[in-house]
Parts: sequence; C-alpha cells; structure tokens
Amino acid sequence: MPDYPVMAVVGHPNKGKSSVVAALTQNDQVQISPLSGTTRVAQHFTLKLDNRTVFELVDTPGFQRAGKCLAWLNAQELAADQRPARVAEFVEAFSGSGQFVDEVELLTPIIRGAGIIYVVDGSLPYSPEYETEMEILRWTGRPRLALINPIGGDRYVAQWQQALNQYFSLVRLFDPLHASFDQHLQLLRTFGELDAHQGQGFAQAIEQLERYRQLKLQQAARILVENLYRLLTYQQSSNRLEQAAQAQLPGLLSDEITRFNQHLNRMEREGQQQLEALFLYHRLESDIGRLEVHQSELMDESQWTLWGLEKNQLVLVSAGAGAAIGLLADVGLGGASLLTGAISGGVLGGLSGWFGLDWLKQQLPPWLQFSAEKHLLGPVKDPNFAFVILGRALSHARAMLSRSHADRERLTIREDGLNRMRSLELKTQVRLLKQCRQLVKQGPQGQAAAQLRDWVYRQLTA
Amino acid sequence: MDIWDKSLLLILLRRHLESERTVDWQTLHKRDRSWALAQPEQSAWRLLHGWLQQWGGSRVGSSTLFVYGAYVAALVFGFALMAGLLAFQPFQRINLLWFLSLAVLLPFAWWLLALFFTTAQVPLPLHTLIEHRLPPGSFPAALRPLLKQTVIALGQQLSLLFSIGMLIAFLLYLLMTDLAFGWSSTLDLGGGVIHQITSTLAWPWRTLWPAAVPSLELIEQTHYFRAAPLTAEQPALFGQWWRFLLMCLLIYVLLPRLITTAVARIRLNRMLGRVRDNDALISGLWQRLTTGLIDQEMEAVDQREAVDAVSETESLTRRYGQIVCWGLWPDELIGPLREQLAGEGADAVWIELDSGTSADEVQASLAELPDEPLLLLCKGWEPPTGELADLCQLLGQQRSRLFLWPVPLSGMDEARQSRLIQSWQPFMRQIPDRFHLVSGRVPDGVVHA
Repeated sequence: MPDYPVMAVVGHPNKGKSSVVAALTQNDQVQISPLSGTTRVAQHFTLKLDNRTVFELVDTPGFQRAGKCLAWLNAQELAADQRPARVAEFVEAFSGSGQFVDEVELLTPIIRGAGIIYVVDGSLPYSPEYETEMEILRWTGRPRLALINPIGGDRYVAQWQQALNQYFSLVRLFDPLHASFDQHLQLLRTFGELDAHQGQGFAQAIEQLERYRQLKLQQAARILVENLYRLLTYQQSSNRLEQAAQAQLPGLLSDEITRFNQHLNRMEREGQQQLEALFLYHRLESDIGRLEVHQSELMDESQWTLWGLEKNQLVLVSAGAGAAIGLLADVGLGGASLLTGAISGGVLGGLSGWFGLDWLKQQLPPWLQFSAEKHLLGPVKDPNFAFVILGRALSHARAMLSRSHADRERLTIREDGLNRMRSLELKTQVRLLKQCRQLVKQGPQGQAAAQLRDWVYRQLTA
Repeated sequence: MDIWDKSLLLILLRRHLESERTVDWQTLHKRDRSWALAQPEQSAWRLLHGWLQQWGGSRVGSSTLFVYGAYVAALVFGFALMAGLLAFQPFQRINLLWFLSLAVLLPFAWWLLALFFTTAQVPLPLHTLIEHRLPPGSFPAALRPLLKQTVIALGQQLSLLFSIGMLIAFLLYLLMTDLAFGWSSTLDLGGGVIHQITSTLAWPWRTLWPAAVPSLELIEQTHYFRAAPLTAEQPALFGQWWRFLLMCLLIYVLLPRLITTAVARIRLNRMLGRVRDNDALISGLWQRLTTGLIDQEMEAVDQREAVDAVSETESLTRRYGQIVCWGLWPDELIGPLREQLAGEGADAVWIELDSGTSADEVQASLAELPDEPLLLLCKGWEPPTGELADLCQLLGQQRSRLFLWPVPLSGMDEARQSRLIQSWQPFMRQIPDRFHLVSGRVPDGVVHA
C-alpha cells in the first residue's frame, strides 16, 4: 500500500467522474465524453510535489453489472468483517476472465486501499437501483465520500442527500464545471477528514496548492502589467509613409493603421496565451472582441534623429555646449561677468540648435550613418486606452481563473471590462490613470509598475 | 559575479525566455525544476547563469574581459592626461589656470553633464551607443531601463578610474620630480582675482587643512610672464601649490565621482534585484527554479472511443403485444405510463423486470406468451448498462420484433435530453439487431414528478 492517499472516483456510468478528476487535478487533458461508458480502464492521476506523490485519484469505469456483482457477493452468508475479503475474492475470481470487466477495474484500486469518492448526478432522480452499487462499496469497508454533481441542475439534490446519508459518512455537493479553486481545496480537506491516517498528506497538499496558486497569481499580475506596458508604448515606424507622395498618404495611412491594430491584437493575445499557459489551459478559445484604435487616437509624427538623438535632445546638447564655452569665458574673467558668458552661451547654443538643425538636416551627406528620418504611428494617446486594456485583460483573466479544467466549452468573456473599470471609485480611477502614465515613463521595473501589480493581484484574488 | 555580468545575464536571459513566452508553464516548470534540483547549492545569480549556459548562453562572463580592459584603459587615460599636463614641458612652469581648467574644471563639468543625463529623465541615445554592440536579435524593450542604469553605472565607474589614474600620476610626479606651478595670463587678472577664485575653491577644506589654501603672497610670488627672465630667488615657492591642487583633485574630481559611482552601483544593484524578482519572464524562471513542482501525472491508457453512431429511430405506437419495464421506477412515474400503454383498450401484457431478476425468471415469464412485438421501456435519463445489454441478448433469443424505448424525463431541457439519449445510439450496436430504437416524448397525460 502506498504511503500517500489514494482515492478512487467511482459511480454509475456518465455521472461526471472524469469531470471531477479533471477539476481536482486541474488537468484539462482528462478525456471527458458526453457519451456513457467511454472510461473502460481505471486511470491513475497523481499529484506530485517535486516527484513525491502527494495524492492519487483513480478515474474508474462505471458499474455495469452491479446487481449480478452483489448477487455473487451475497452467494455466501458472511459476517460483516469478512465482506472486504469477499470483494477481494470477487476481483481475483473475475480478473482477466472477460466477465465483470468494469467492476473488476473499479474495485481493484479500492481493495488495494484506495478511499472511495462516489459520484452521482443531482439533476436526475434517485433510484433504488443505486443502492446495489452503494451496498457493494459498503462491503469494501473503505472510507467513503459521496459527491453530488449537479451537472444539469440541482432539482433532486435533497432526494439524493437523504439516500446517500445512509451509506456515506460524508456527502458533499460539488460542481466540477463551476467550482472555484477554494471549493477544490475544501473538497481536498474533506478527503482528509474522511481518512484520519491520510489527513496529514492532504493538509500538506492543500498548503502546497495554496502557495502554488498564490505564486501563479503574482506571476499573472506581472504578465498583465508588462503586457499593459507593451501595448501602451507600442510605436510603429514606417519609412513607407515618409517616402510616399502626398497624394498616396491617405491610402497608405489606412493600411498602416490596420497593421497597427493587427499588431496590438497580436500582442494582447500573446499576453492572454501567456496567462493560459501559466494556468495550464491548453485548448482555450475565447470569444473576446478585437481591440481597435482609430487614427484620431494615435500619436502620428515624423521623427528625425542624428546619432540616436532626437531634435529636442540635440538642442539640449547644443545649449549645454554653448553654456560650457560661456562658462570658460566667465572663468577667464575671474567670475567678474557674473555667469553672463554661460547664460548667453547656453541661449545662443540652444537657438542655433533649434534653427540650425533643419538646415543641417539638408546638408548632411548620405554616408552619415546615424541620421534617420521615419514616420511614427503610436503610441495611443487616449488616456482611456490604458483602462480599456486593463479592463479587457482582467475580464479575460477572471473568466479563465473561474473556469474549471473540466469545462470543454469556449471561454466566454464578459465584454464589460471597461464598465467595471469605470465603476471603480473616482479616486481609484485617477490613481490608476496616473500609475499608467508613470508606467509608460518608468518602465515595468518602476514604482508605478509595482503599484499596478499589487492592484491587479488584489483584483485577481478578490 | 559582478554587476555588469548580472546585467548582461538578465538581458540574455530575457532574450532567451521571449521564445518560451506561451509555452505551457507545467512543461517549463518540470524542465527547470528538475535541472535546479540537480545543481549544487549556489547563489541565485550563479544558478541563473548556469541555467542560461545550458542553452548556450556562454556570452555571460565574456563581459568581464571587456569591463576590466575598459577599467585599465580608463586608468591609463587618466594617468596619461595628468602626465601630459605635468610633463609636457618638463623644464617650464606649469600654468595653474591651464591645469585647473583641464584637470579640475573639465572633469567637473563632465560630471555635471553626466548627472544631468542621469537624473533629468533624458533618454540616453542607447540604441546608437550600446544596443548595436549587443549580440544580434531584438533588444528586450522591457529591460531598457536596466540597460540605461547599467550604462550610467559603468560610465561613472570608468570616470572614477580615470580620476584615480589622474591622481596616481599627480602623486607620482610630486614624488619623483620637482613640479613648479605658477600662473600666467595674457589678461591683466591680478593676484586678487586669482586669490578670490582659489579661496572659493578651497572653501571646503580651509578649516581642515589651512596649508592647502593658497595665500595672496603665494599667488603674487608665483605669477610669471613668458617674456620675463626666470627668477630663481625662491624656487620652493613654486612647489607649494601641490597641496591646493591635490585637494582640488580630491574634492572636485575624485569625491563627486566616488559618490555618484556608489549611488549608481547601489541603484543598479537594486534594479537587478527588481528585474530578477519582477520581470514577467525572468521572475517566472526564478519561480520555476525555486518552487517545488506540483505536477499532475496522468497514466497513459487506451480508453474506449466515443462512437457517434446514429441508429434509425421509430415512433411510439400502440401495436405492442408485450411491454417489459426494466428497472425500479417510482410509482408516480410508471403508473400513468402503464395506464397509457397497457391500460384499458390496449391489449399489451405488462412485465416488470430489474437487475435482480435472473435469466431463468425472464425466460419463464416470456415462454408462455406468443411472439408478438415487444417494447422494452428503460429510463432514458440513465445511461444503458451491461445488465441491460444482457437482458437485450436474452430477449433477442425469445422474440423476433423488439423495440427499445429510452423514456425521456419530462421537465428536462431539450439539449440535455438529446445528449442523454445520444448514449443510447452506440448501445444499439451492442445488442441484437432485432431491436429498434424508439424515440418519442412521453404520451400526454403522463406527468413525471
């Protein structure tokens, strides 16, 4: 018997056993089918911490011939203490025989020491036929927990609860498709309660999972803020626009704006995929609308640089050089000029830089490598753009985080991200806008980025 | 590992990690954590360096040679500048004004300019200066502030070494030769102006070291003219300037550089820590290296393929000779149904079977009845089981025309119902083909609980 807890997920066919396993192991690669009987052999899912198994779940096929199985077990009059051995005898007798294939598969992990998670569908009526299965499970003598899975509603949950209470020491309602992470942990805690010997193992697993989740959420906040920075600072340069004749400009500009929008959407999707990869969603398709900015919202200017310096920087350097020369003259006069030289030199240098650079631009020989003229589109100048990005990113992240790994539908994202941002307190909105502006200036390592990361983290954990 | 290597390491790490941006976290965590566990205990930076090295990131460390080369060059240049100033004309007086301009004022002005670029948030022309010297590939824009801080700190460090080179040369020349400082200017400045300048310059150390503050007498006595003959009455006077000049070098050249170098290094160090801990990609790697791997392992098994079979379905009629009801049904469900199908006016025989009924009992209950169409009623909301398949096999041997009706649960939404009924389609392939699948709603008047 392994030194870690093992739970076998059993039940009638098509009651969502595989969904429960997918949700609890956070593994969206577990095969889930709406058709019954697709689980043929027991499949083991282990949760490991640094290669040490913390617990194991066994997804089993559903009971197919429970009545006959119980009849076989009942064929001999036995005292209660001998019943587990009788079940083991059943497994041994029919293992590899071609009969009771599903029952042998589902009972094998149990007779080897696994605890039992019995899954039923709370949206369908209870029937006494289930008692056969529950009776077989009682014969095994293993700790048992019943999960009512409200796949399509909770109409019959109370009915089920009454029946299950008679066979199981713990009965819980668990929706694998919509359960939050905390509900997953709560269920694991319940497993711990089920078997006092294994409780320590589950407590450790829960602690690790909580810590792991926290680290991932912090990482998610970093990804969101960095992606926000990338989108807010994105600039597209184009030599094509600069070289085009005036008449061709409108057509080309529209092309360039389309290209700009495509790139923005690609960057946003990359950020979303990064989050999906972090939280192990492999097959996620979302229905979020495209991000679109218009020409009026974009900075649109020509930029000329010389040796990597833009015009205003060159003017500053020119003014600085003038001031330095003037200062030398002041020193030469023993300070008697009261820094007139430095001031007038600075002003003269600055003015010659301002007016002379355009002239210099024409005079520069083509071989002067570091001179370049380009047309820049972006970044988006509308301050609300930061809210749009942040709102969309949070909507995507929230939809993804609240999604169970057992869910196979498209990710539905509520397009009210911006409204949610606008519904924030005015004080918070102003602070966020200020932080976004500072983020652009300071970069993702600045103080504003750290504050934004904290805020995003709180939003994700709220 | 020095701070330059750390900077380069972070830049190269980030470049490498860009390509893994959307790779499944679990795959990366498995890879990185298993690598980290195999490493000996070492510092965080060594661990990151080692990680990068396994992907061929051997450029880290090569910066050391470049940086130390630059250190030596800065020292040599500083030494050479001072040596040039002091020994350009070995038998002439050294003009103080010239010395102060080149050895004190110029480095001080340069320091002020550097301070302006550092603090005034003016972007350095980084691309031209640095980025094109880096290994090919796009430079990670998120690390531009780190690159700027690195350039600033390196610039300060090299300038400090340049100043130290100047100081060493000055001290060596003081020791090895007799330096004769004087001052000379074409302009009629007068000793008073020079005294005013030197007194202002000497203000920071006037109380600490009064001997390093030149007196008016010294200034007047060391005034010389190129056209006048050399006076040799008090040659030692010309050497007395060294204290003042040494303090000028220490206070206006070395000290500012020392402070800004220390500040720049502290800021860079902090930024390195911030990048390692907060950069979305690098901190992710760090987390993967240092956090225990929680892994879900899935045993590879061959599960049954979900067959999307479609069987022909027939409508429910009242032409059944026998009706077999399979399973235990609540009375409120089965009562009205029985009333409708086998009640007054319908001649069908009603038989109830469940999983507890043995094969012999089934055969016995059917043996005395004629071979008429038989309708098997099952709960359509429950999936078919092996026991039902066994019963179908048995019935298939007894009757030539059989109908299987998975009775839908009224009150359930259509989509769910059709999904549940779907499970019955592939089941039809497991049972004798004498069976026909009946589809249809529960007749009016039968209302389930």
